[in-house]
Amino acid sequence: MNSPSMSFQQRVSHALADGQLRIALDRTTERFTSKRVAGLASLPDADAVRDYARSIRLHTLSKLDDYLEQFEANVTSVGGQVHWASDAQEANEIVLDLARSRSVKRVVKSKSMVSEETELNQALISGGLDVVESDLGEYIIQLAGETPSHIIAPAVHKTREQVGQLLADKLGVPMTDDPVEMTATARSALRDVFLQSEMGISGVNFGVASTGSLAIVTNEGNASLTVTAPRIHVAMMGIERIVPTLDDLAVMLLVLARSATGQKLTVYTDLLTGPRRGDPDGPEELHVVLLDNGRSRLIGTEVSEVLACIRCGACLNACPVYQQIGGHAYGSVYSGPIGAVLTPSLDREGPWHVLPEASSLCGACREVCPVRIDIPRMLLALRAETVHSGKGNRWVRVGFWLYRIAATKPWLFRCGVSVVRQLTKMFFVNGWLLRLPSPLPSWTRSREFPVIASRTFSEEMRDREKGSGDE
Amino acid sequence: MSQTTYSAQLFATCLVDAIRPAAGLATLRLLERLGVKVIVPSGQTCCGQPAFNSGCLADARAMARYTVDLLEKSPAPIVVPSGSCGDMIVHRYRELLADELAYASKVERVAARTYELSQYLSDVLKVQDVGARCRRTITYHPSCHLLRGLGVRSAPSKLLDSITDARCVGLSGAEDCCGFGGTFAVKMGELSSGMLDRKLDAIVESGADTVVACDAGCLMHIESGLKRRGSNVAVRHLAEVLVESE
Amino acid sequence: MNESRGAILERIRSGRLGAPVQSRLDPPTLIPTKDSSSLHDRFVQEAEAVGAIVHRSDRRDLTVETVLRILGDAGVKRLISWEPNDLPISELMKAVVDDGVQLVDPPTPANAETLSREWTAMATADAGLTGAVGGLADTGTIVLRSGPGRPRLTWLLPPLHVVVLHSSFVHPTLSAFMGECGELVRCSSHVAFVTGPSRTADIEQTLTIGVHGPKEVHILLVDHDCKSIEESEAAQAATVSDEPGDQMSKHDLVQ
Repeated sequence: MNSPSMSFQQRVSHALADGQLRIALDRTTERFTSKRVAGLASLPDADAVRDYARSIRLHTLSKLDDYLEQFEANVTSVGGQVHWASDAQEANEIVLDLARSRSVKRVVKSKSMVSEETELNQALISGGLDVVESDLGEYIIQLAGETPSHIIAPAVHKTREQVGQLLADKLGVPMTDDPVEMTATARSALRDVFLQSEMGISGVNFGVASTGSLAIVTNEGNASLTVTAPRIHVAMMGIERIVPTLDDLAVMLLVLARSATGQKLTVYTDLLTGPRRGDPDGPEELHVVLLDNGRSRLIGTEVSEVLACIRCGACLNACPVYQQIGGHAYGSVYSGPIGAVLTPSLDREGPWHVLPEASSLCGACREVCPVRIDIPRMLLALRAETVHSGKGNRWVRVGFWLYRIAATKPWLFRCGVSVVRQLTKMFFVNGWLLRLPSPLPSWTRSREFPVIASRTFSEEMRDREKGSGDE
Repeated sequence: MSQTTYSAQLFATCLVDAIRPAAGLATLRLLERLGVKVIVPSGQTCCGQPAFNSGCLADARAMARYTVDLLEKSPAPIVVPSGSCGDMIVHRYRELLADELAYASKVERVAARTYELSQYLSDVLKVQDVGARCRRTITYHPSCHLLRGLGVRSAPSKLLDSITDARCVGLSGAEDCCGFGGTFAVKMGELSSGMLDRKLDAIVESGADTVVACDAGCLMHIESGLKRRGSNVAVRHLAEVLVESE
Repeated sequence: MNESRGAILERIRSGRLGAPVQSRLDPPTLIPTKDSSSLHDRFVQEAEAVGAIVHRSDRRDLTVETVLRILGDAGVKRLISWEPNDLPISELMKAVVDDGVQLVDPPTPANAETLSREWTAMATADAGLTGAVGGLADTGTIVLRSGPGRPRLTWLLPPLHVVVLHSSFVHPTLSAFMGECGELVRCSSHVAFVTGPSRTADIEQTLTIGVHGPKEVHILLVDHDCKSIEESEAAQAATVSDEPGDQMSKHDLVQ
């Protein structure tokens, strides 16, 4: 994945200063959160359903190789083709080769996080192809030359005025801030694109192993058109997006819609099993590109559970950090709590070790996850990994080592507390001992800093029990 | 109240010890008032959570071993006036020390008999009205580890509701994190104070004159922000209001 | 690429090494709590809640009349329709034509020269008329199955979609449907579950209806005699012609 040019802390400051972003985020997360609760509540036993959904995901991951092979065999038997890509570059090459060999000039796309991950659009454009995003939010940010800031609502950071201006600038239509008019503009602009593109590229929400079917969900219907009108359909899919059977699929679709937007089902759920079979329309060719890009290496590790994610975005909406900074600040395709685990896990060499630090470990994400992924546990595992590999902050490591020595020798602890008490009293205005690294003064920018008590609890206890031993 | 004689060990936690000893003293007084024979193991320091949260596992393990040994000296249940340290001992200690032969069973025993204060009052002593009395308008902030880690949802509110002459008011976004998160508050100062601002706004909006929590970390964080705002809202640990009597 | 296949599978296998296969829990009850309303009433309620308009009919002539009225009210001049054999009542198409609505020819992809003209014609149709192979009561969903005589673009392109669904095809839930009709899915290249008209909230979280798919969905829930799926299939199989590139034989299409 590409590393962003600003550091995480810089991006955070930037985001916090963006008042419009805050308003947009507040509106979105509030709306999604209350709808999610309402959506799940309509299930007779939401907890049991989530436990069951989790068990399906974990079961699948524990037999992923078998299910992938079954999936491939079934896709092939219904006339589709499966391509395996070890990394992003390979995935892009596969698609580009397909496009070239089929004389494709124009590509229409529906939402695919995997294609963002591999930066497929850039590769296709460099290869001389015309690429248009059809999801309204993605279309908007494509026109703006930006990247999505939320898994479900990619243009959440833009106000209606900004969108209106963008459409006016890029499409030459009169400026309006009415979403209905803007939507109509996009609809007619994209209609031609659907019907004139030779290749449609979509994502895959779930691949069904037992039938070789692809399940794709949208509310707009843009994926339905993307996978129907062009003569070649390419479906980009992470290797972990497999469910064993159609019955399992039904359960996953149920929790996905309710957790993402609070709907009982998305408006369009398309189940594709192979290219057309005597149909008057539909693609002649169906290609599934299975992407690894670091996923397989996670199986059997402490963070393997991150592969159970169904990309509903509920954790983003629940996260008090995401709510403040939005998706771009994370610096990569996957943002929010899941992104803070997934990005450093998929891209071990990248500059991502600070992402797991950006959490108070409040656990709101785990609480809302439809498949109960324990994100805080994995954030802690990643933090421990950073320390273990020596990439972490040296002062923090030294600090805790010293603290540990004191904490396992009570007399030393007592001395330490006395010393710190004296020092904080002396340097109270500055907030801390002068030696320690710079982040600490950020506390006192907005908060007072407490002194050590003049008599600690242990000192009080020792005073009281003077004379009686209590070992 | 029951006729059984209860005894318990009090593990104050490092934050209570050094920053808010009043909470520890109040816990002690409260338990004794309720007829519990309280042992305060001397030499107690820190459960190791800050090190654990920073990824310094070796240091966290050392502190965990030390604490387990300390708490194993007596078979009495352990009461902790902190949701996050309670969660650490009950859940994380097992993970940290599961592979160490010498500690595997000790850690199970300690985890099985450790309670956060409100948990102990409601699940072991089975009390709701502890005889407290104060004229306060109280709003309650549930700390994240207490709520989501230990699963303690209603015990603190029930205890607060039973205080004579006190009025309890709701807190909007009660379950939202206050932004402390231990080292998070320092490492990610801007994010942390952003979360604190929301919490403080909610506290002020609630109309309460007192905010109560079961965690010294949250209390310290909230108090530091209220002070900066020049607010009159009092900040109290659960134990501190429960020992009040006018 | 075969190298990647092997490498990926190998990485998964070595990660799995020694770990037992995680078993699944028993499926929980997914049928919504019993309420006093019937399956069909629930279907109507849910469909209306997501913005579809539902009409009920217990007579063939009433169904025809209702369809004509819907098309008339919307000022429909040009219609894409499924083949008569694929509509639950085959006389519907003739009635529509007699009423002065022009039928747009279905796509014939084999003929590349006419393709772009056909796309344009379809894209400017005012409405699409289809049958349905199922309905889901707890979400108000209609289930559409593509195939010979049943172009997908019928329910995707035009701004108005009229669908005739027989009440016996209504299932309580998606899970129930999959349980009974899994084979149907396996045999079809495209099964669409459509829940209301298309929508987006991508601009400032403001809900807008009618993005790429239809703006209006009218569902005729009918109780009178209709062709069953088997009958439709049999009729279809008798008339289907082999398309170039068609991988499946005729027999595979019949249930």
